[in-house]
Amino acid sequence: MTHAHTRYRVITRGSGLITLVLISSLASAADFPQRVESANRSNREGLSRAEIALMKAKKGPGKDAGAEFFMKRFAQSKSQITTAGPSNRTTKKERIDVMGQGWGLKVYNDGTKVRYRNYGALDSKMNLAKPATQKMSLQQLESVGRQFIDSHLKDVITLGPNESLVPHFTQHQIIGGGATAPGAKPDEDRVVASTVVFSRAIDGTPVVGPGSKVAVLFANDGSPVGFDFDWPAYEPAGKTQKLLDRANIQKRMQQLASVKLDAPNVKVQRLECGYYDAGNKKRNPSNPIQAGCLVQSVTREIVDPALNSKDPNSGHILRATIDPIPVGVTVEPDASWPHAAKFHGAQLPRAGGPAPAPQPPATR
Amino acid sequence: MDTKSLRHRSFLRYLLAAIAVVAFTAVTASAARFGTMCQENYQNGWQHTLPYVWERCAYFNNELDDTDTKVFYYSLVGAKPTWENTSDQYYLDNVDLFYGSTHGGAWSTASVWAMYDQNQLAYSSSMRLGDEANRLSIFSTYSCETLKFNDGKLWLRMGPIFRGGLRYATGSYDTFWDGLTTDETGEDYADNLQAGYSIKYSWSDGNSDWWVDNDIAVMATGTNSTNCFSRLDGMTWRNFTTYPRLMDAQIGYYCYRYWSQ
Repeated sequence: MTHAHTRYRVITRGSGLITLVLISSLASAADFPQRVESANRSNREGLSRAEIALMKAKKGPGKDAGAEFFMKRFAQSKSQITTAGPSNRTTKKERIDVMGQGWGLKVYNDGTKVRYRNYGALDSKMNLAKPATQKMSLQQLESVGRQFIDSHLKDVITLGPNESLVPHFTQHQIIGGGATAPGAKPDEDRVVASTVVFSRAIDGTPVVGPGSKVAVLFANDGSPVGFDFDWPAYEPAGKTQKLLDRANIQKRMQQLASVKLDAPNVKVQRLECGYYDAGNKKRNPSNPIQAGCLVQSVTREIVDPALNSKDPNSGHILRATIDPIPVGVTVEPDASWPHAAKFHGAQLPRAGGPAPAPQPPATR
Repeated sequence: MDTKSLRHRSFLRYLLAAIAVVAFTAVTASAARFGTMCQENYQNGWQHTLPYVWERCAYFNNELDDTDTKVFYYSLVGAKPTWENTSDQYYLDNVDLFYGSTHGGAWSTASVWAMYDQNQLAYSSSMRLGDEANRLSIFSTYSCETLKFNDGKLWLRMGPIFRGGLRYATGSYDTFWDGLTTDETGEDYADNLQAGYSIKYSWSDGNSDWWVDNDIAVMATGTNSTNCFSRLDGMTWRNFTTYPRLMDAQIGYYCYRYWSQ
């Protein structure tokens, strides 16, 4: 990751005095400019509007119908996105898994979350590995990603009025290694595949969280070898939600985040505000899609001060935390979102921990 | 060739096919052994609570024990000896796949995993897996940094673990995020393993949701580069026993794959 952008951080002190402090941000070089700008805007202004229209996710066709749809769509395909040949189908409560020769298709719940991979095809192209410095650019990936979505997913990646498909970030699969002989230097890293991820904006407000994402995976020769999406159609919920301003978003963050965000060893790596869609597996379709800010923070805890003082790269532990903070002035009930549920006195059921391991025999 | 010979050959072909199907079924249906150790909160708050660890590990267990044998699920209370050479033969080395979730770090000479007990860490420099009891094959931890490679010290840190014959490690080269949207990463990993995906893709797909930028990495060893990547790419939850264990001086190369944003 490279960390090259600048943002504002708000620190709340004592009796509500709010100070804006300019600090260095940690946006990734793999982020498209739209995501960088969105993060900068979130840091400066929150959602930069006074209210939003609440949305609802429409129910999809179901996992059976979804699986049938994609099995048929790619049955005659001549590309590496194919469902041709024998396959084995397994139905579980939450999803359908179809495994073919080298490929796999998963369709979840109401059919609005789908993952297809032809890893057999990707693994057959390992000879195309090239130095990591020659990986596909943001522009190349956006272009081939849009082409794929237009050609193959246009009827499932639908956009409502005032909605847009926004390039989000890229990801690269990279291999490396080295001889184990003492003093051997690692070999040069090589890229073997790249993914482009798109998100959705509604009236210019981004959708944050796992929902409203579509990704396409490409081999190094530019051929698509996989795609996935979590993409329900939205419709207005018939209500608006007034939004906190930036200073009050900060207060809400301090109140709800699982980390003390202004502690000296905590870095906020991302703050992104918009409509919060927790994704197909978490979203409760009866609840509206409301406003939220995602806070990603990293805590570097020194656990061995003596060692750390001698070697700054040792003696530490990392903790990486993500908190979705509801930022409506009034938070809509959402029992599947713990931070929002707190406003309505709801306690979500949680898993308990296991017992300690029994003592082993005293001697080996 | 006379009719009798043809019939004989045909019978042999059917017999061989039937044997192959039975053998394949036996391999794919045989349950492997797995164990899980996780920790959400820490003694006297010496480490910050990770609020979604219990869900991550419970969901992993609930998914994988549909097809395979859960040998243990323990917390990390008093667990340092169970990871390190002292008592690993009763725990980590007593299963085929180990899954853990706790805080982690990459130091100059060791990867470390936080235990529940105050100031207790498991050190990779004190671990050697794959050489005792059931002999561990796959070591998977949802912990930050433990497969960090960009300082050129990955083998220095992870070599002691692999030299015992461990076949595969999965983890992170930087950060793994704890939050509501990552509490199902264990379940998704298990589901992918069961579906027959390679270990590398099971781990990467299980830990990606296109929102949280998890820094995913996997690692294996080989006699040389070609052998190493063949093992890294080809191993699955169902075929890992077909890859010979490599120990100590048999290991000439280490290799990894990572997913970089």
